[in-house]
Amino acid sequence: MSSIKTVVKRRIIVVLFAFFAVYAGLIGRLAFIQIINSSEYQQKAMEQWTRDIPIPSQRGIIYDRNSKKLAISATAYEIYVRPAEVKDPEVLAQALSDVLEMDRAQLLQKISVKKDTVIIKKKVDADKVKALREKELSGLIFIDDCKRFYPQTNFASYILGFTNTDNEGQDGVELTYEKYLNGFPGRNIKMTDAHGQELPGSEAKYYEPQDGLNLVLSVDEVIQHFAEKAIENALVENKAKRVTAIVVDPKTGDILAMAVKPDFDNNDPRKIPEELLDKWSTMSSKEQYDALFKTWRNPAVSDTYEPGSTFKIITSVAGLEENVVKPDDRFHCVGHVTVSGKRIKCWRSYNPHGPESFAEAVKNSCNPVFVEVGQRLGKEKLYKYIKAFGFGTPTNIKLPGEAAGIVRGVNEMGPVELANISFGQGISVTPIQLISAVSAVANGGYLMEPRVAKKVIDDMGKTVHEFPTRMVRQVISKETAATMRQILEAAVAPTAGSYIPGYKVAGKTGTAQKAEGGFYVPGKFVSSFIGFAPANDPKIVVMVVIDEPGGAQHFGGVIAAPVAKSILYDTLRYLDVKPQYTPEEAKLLQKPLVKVPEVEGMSLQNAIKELAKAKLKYSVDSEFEHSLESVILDQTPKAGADINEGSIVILYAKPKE
Amino acid sequence: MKFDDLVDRKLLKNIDLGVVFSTVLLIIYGITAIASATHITRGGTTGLMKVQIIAFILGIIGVLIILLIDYNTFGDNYTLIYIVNILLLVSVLFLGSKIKGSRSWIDFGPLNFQPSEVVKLGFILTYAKYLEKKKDKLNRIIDVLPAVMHMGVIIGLILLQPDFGTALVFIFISVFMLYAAGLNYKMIAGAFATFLISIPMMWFFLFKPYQKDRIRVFLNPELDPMGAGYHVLQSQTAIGSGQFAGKGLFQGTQNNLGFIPERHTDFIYSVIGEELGLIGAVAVIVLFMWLLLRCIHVAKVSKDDYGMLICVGVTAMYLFHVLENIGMTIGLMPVTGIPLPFISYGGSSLLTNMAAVGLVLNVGMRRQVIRF
Repeated sequence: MSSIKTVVKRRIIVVLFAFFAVYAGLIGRLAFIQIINSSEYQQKAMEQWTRDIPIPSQRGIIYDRNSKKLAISATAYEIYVRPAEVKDPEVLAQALSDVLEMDRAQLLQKISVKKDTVIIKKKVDADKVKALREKELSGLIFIDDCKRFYPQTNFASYILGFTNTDNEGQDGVELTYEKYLNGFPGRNIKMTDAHGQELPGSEAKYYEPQDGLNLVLSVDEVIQHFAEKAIENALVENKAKRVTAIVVDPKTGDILAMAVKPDFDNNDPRKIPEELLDKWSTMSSKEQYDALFKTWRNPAVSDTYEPGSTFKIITSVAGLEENVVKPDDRFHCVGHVTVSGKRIKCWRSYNPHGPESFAEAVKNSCNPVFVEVGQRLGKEKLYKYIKAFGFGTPTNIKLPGEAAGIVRGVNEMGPVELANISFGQGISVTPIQLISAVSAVANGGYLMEPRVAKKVIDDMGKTVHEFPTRMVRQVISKETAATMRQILEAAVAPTAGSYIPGYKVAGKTGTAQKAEGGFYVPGKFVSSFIGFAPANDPKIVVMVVIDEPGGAQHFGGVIAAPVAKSILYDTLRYLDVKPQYTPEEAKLLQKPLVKVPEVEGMSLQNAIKELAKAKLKYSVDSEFEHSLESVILDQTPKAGADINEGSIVILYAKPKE
Repeated sequence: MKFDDLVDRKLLKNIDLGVVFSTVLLIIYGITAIASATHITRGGTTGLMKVQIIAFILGIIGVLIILLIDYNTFGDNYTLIYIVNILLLVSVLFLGSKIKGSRSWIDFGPLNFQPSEVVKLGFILTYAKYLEKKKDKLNRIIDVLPAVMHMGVIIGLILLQPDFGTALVFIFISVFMLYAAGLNYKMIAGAFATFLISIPMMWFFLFKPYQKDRIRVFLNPELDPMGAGYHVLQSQTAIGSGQFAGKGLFQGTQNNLGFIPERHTDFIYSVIGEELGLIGAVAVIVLFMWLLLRCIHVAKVSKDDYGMLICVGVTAMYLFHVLENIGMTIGLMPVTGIPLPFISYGGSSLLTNMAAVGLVLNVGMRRQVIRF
């Protein structure tokens, strides 16, 4: 009998084996999922039914030293869409595109994605969110967010910096004090079902966000305004590439103002720079980023330049402190000096200064005299003072991207290099280094670390953390500093651009040719002025740097000093510093006011006559060789100003060909 | 028709208790799981659970009726049954209502009826008879071709619905029965080779885009986590998060919060895996193993080849369902709409599966009864 039973009996063994193999496979897989990988799946499960919504913390306010708000956090929203809950994607896309001004087609694509949630936009203003809410569209979610807001646009841009879309500091004090300003975001954990519906009665956990602390800057909003206004004008008048001004309280090292023009809008730091608007779309993203980065670069701390004559202050105090020169020491300028066979010219070699005291040499900014002082000091001692004043090392100001500057090592200094450095060439410094060094002269010899922020306070105004002022070292004696202040006060003659009757302005101008790639570029200058007032008890130190002035004038005394004067005058009056008039100044003030006549465009001869008619004195800016026929290019004060009879009007004559 | 005396002690003594107990336990297990999947402890309705209980009671009656009829009566009328099968499958193509792109269901108002479920049994009954007759002639292609034709017509009609998953069940059952009927290994090897060769052909000519997507997503569910891969990922998440001991009956978060899709039907195993853990999940597998081993045993002891082949067919049917359904919930198989026998909610499915149990019991019960 050929029953298939016998076949089955044989084959049954095979089938049983197959059974066991298959079931073992199932059980093995189950064990893998439920034991070996189970924690991963548990995590996944939990993520599904808990919705963890971050609650942004409010970023701290940035105040100026007088509690004026310079940066605040405004309420904003993040907008999300839950595609599964959208009834009509077309309508939603249209509404979003209308209110948020975004591309409709792209939005439609975004909200049609099979995802739990998609982000539409961050940092949306409350009024726009209100407009969307009123449309009552399903599937839209609004989540609280904060938006950084700087009430005064283009104001103290480089000190304040800016934040990114996640409210993290990216530049300025926003970056350097990030850990205080940024709080801890809170969380809201809810249980939801598969449709994203919150479960009634489920345990929701809410963790309060911790708001950031508030930062009090050393900056004075009013002084910052003075500085911004002054350099804004200077930028336009001198057709300069850039103008920087810093105001420091010499006794504390507090930065009272730090202004740079052109600057950027902190509220929209990624705005395309105007000059690049046309070719922006053709630029690679790296080029675009580099261009933006350039606008964010803070020249006051990041850019180095050759200080020129302003550096003579350092050479002078080194010589005075080391007793190799005294204010009354006599010198004789012949227009040049020969060092190791190399002829170094005085800037006024066409009309040498002749016999002069050291104090007069500072006023005259006479190069050969400083070469002489440098030689008397020797390179080791000069180098010691240069380092002691902080050149070649960052000042440790709490702003991003500070440069160290370049100081030639003492072993690389030959006689020619020594001579050059003595009058400010062959060395590169940052503006913040120079103003810190000069502040040390102003405050009696103490090098202070520049300070941008004073303290961190909580919302009740209680101080949480203080940033104390820090004295780095005493560089020179009180006596030397006092002597130098007198010399610098004398350097600002009543005829100088920075002279203010009664305020005892002391200072030094500088004009340096710009070096690019190791060579001086003809026609490109950096003009600067650094000074302080009142000379007998300096309250503020002001520095103005005009980069690549493109106007008719480029001398620091002509273009930078008046900017500093404007800042000094406004600030000293604001700080309620009482004027101390010299007898001559007092006498002058008694005289009646007269209007300054217009003398621009006249010959010098006629201008003098015109001024005499108005009972005014004149002074021709002496940095040029000129004759009575020379045409007047400019005058200070301008025509129309009311000044006392007998005051001096400074005339800038066209140089002789 | 031949009726045996119902109270025949010999017959009752021969009822395979293993089959009965494993089946009853599986059904009770299933009703419990349905209760949890329909959230009866959380304000859900008890409607579906009641329907399943009613189907269970009806199924018991059905089994009793089947036991009354000697299975060879089905064999004697296999041509008639075959014709009825064809008619049922043709009628659904015209009368069926379209659900998710397929005409598999005939709508009778409150009751839905899936003809392919009944045809599964009908097919096993006719194919077993056919193979019994041809058992000695399965060595040449020319003899095997009609056997292939017999199943080919049925499978073809099912593919017209189209219901690829159910067609696979029929193929699996046929292959198992052919194997048991003694199909020569050469033929098996040949068929296997043909199958392998035809895979690319099927991919390019037979599969619809959604089927291709299912297979792609099966190979990598992360491709479309919110779409085609959603079911598998959610199912695995539920089962995996159940860990060894489970979250407790009625306590599964993925179940209660609605993350498990089709949780009372195709993905009921995910609910079990989540709430009862590895222990509960393996328990289901063990119960099925028990049932299937008993079915194989009945096949072995059956008095004739027809009975043996019926049991093999039923075993193959269960086996495929279990493998495919559990396999898809744990990512071993692509997703198809194949329910888990006795456990998934579904009246016609439960009735069919119980009727199949009835057939096995029928074969086992009559193993020592010689008909004259």
